[in-house]
Amino acid sequence: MKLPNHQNNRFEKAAEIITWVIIILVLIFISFLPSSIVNKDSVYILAGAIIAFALFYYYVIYKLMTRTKRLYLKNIADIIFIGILIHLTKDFGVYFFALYFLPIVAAALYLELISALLIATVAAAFIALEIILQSQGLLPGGSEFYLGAWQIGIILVITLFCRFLALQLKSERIAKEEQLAKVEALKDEAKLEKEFITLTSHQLNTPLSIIRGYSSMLECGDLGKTALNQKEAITEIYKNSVSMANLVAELLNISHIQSQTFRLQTERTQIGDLIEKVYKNFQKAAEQKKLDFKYIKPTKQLPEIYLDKIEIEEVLKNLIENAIIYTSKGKVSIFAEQKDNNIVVKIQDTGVGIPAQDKEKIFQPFFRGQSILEIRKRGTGLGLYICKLLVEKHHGKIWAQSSPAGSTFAFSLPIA
Amino acid sequence: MKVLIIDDEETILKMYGTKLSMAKIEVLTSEDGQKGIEMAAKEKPDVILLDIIMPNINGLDVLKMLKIRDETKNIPVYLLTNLPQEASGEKAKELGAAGYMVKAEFEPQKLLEKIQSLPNNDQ
Repeated sequence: MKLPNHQNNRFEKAAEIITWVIIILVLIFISFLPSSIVNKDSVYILAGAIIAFALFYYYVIYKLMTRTKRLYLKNIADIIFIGILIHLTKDFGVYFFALYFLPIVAAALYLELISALLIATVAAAFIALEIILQSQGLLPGGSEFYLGAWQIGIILVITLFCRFLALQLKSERIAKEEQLAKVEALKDEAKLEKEFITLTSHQLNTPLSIIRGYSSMLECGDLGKTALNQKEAITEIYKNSVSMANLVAELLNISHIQSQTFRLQTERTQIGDLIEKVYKNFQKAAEQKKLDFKYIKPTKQLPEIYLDKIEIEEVLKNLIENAIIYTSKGKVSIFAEQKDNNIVVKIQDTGVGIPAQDKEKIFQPFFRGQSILEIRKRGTGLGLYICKLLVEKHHGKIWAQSSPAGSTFAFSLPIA
Repeated sequence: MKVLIIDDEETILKMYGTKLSMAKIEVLTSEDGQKGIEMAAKEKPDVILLDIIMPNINGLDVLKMLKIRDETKNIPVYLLTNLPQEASGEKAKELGAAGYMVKAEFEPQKLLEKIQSLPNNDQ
């Protein structure tokens, strides 16, 4: 139960005062007991039990209220009270033992059971040492006042030490719990993000699949003959539905790569084998355009590196496909070499080239080149952006170079 | 060849059903997952095409049940859905799906070619 702050303060003050008043009254009461009762051992247990109960009562009330920052004043006030209590008693040695409960319970006020027991053990060790020193007569003797001051000093040290250690442990525990809570909150956020991407994909693809499906059937005559003027319209509907489906797929791919849940599935790979695989897939397309299409294998075996095969294959596929599309005649060549601590892969073509001012912008999404009017009918304009995202996920770099005779697209991946 | 399509979207059933029927494939359809399971057990199709997002019972649960029943556990089940591969592909594979196809990428002609390339196609 949490009370409003100002009520908490008053309530807390009242509870604390009541608790200490109970302790003082108990000890005053004990001091008036006849010595025949006082000399019995059971008095120690009684005094200790009553004090422990009073402090327990205080602890329960304290737990129900908002904590205030009166730590230093509270500690000093507690010690003063302890000093007053000791001086109220006539015989230090008889009642003193009961007051040793105070530091232990003081620590318990701030901690849960295990930590409180640990603190209690430390306090008990201090107490045991004091008792041993006293029994061996190693503590300085002298007047009652001097002895009382010495006892107060010991209790001051024990209580302060236990209390501050308890607070330190508690604040560390709270910090750890807050950290865990933050991590859990981030995980929930990431999960929601992933679900949103998945559902968006589903909702966009549902009508698209019907538009694409039926328009393809109309186009190839599955649903009967179409008039010439209808055929052109149907072809456009079909082509645009294919473009839209590709755009949706690539946008969702980008969302997926940029999401918190995206993880590369890396494994040790010989990149030369991956290049060879993609090269073979494009040989037919290059032949159809009569291009001189080659993979120039490195003279020395390249070291294996950790990479996500599926993602790097996509990068290679995008770059090689672009090179073939944008080269009407001449050659497309693929190179791979080790340069310092990186593997560098280059795809060189004798195609249209890239204007110098576009070399950086070309990796931006939907960038269309110098003239906005030169819109390519095919493609989404996202392929190079996706390549950049994937290479950078591998801590690599991607860049483009241009020359009068075409262009070179290259990327590097770190070896270590 | 007999193909069972389980999908809650009537338009999808009609679209793919028309294309496959034109290629002389016997097409059975069900708009409900539970009824689809019963149909599969009774008719024993050569292939099942299964959507995932459906009311009452979703496709992955249908797949699980198909793989438990003796009458249907050996029928290859291909998921035909608009959920992206990365969302449910792994789970589908674990449950025993033979393949995963995204509808927006599988026009009726492409689906027909896929069905015709399957090993038990006796056309």
